[in-house]
Amino acid sequence: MSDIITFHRLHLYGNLSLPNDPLAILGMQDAHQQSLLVLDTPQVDNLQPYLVACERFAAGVYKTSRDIAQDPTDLGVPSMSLWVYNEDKQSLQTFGSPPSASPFPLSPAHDQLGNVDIDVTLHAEALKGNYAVPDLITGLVTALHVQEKSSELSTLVTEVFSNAFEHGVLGLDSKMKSTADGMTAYYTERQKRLEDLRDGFLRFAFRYDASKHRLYLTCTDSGPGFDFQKVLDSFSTCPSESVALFGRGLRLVHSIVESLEFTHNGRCIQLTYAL
Amino acid sequence: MTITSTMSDDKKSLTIEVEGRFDFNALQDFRKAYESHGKADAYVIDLAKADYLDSSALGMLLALRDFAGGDDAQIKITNAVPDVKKILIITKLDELFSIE
Repeated sequence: MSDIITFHRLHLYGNLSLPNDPLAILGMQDAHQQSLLVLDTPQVDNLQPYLVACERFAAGVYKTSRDIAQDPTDLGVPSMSLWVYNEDKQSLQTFGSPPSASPFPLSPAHDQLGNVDIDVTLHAEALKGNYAVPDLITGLVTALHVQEKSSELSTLVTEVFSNAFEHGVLGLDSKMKSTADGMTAYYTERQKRLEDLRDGFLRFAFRYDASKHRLYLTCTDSGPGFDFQKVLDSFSTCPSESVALFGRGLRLVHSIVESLEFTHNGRCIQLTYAL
Repeated sequence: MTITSTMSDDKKSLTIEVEGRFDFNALQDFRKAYESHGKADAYVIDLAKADYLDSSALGMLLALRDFAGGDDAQIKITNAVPDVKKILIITKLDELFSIE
């Protein structure tokens, strides 16, 4: 056991709490070189999406908030070992170096359910892969066991991501999208800036409070911020019959959530969503 | 994501079907679906097989509305699944398009 530095036990489709998903490991605050993950998956038919998420974590594609706190400019990819077992102590997959000895039996301190909220930081490499948003949506819907809310959760994550990424990280201006040709130019430029992206990041944090049935979503981007008051005012003052080709993303989010707030000069958006 | 367009025999009505995720990745195909035919008298957007729609798709629908004559455009959005229909209504597109 001594060579195991971090340990995570995750129930999938268990109680309603965020740590019930491998994506939670993406947000663990104390990433170390070697981790053991035990999956309790009696009701899960297809483990593949979880193993893929694990692989991305082990390969350092996703980073933790601690990585950023230590050195926000370090975009190097640390490799780590992650060993995934099921409850019957059968190895499901090993990423990186295999363990030098069996990690079992576990010490009593390790043999209990972890409790980590999802907190994922997406650096250039993860942003270029275009899988971060689907990963987050799949993770949330599965972890919260709310298939019937998948469309609204998709809308929340997709629209918040698009705004923070396109305007915050890439610095694109929505006004470009005033005409069909402008929309084409905007998305061509989006692709070009994405390919050239070296630094910049987005951090998504999700916390679910089971007693209140509330999901709290925070998204922070590395951009300069913006005049968010203008956007907030537009929710109440813009004519509903607007025919503008842009400006509906945050309005859509606003209509779904209980509360929407900006902080840090608009770099950070905080939402409360009733489940 | 797949987009197909079919002109009616009398060349008056163009039907565009969108399948899968209707988001910014659909932009080029969606524009081509109507721009390649010239202006029709009426348009039908069949969303029966569209399982998701984001705000950039709303922009694309409004770009088609401009192309088709703005306030005079004849555009019907048909067969939207409940989740998609809800987004069209929340964003008030039901006031700009005929949604069936």
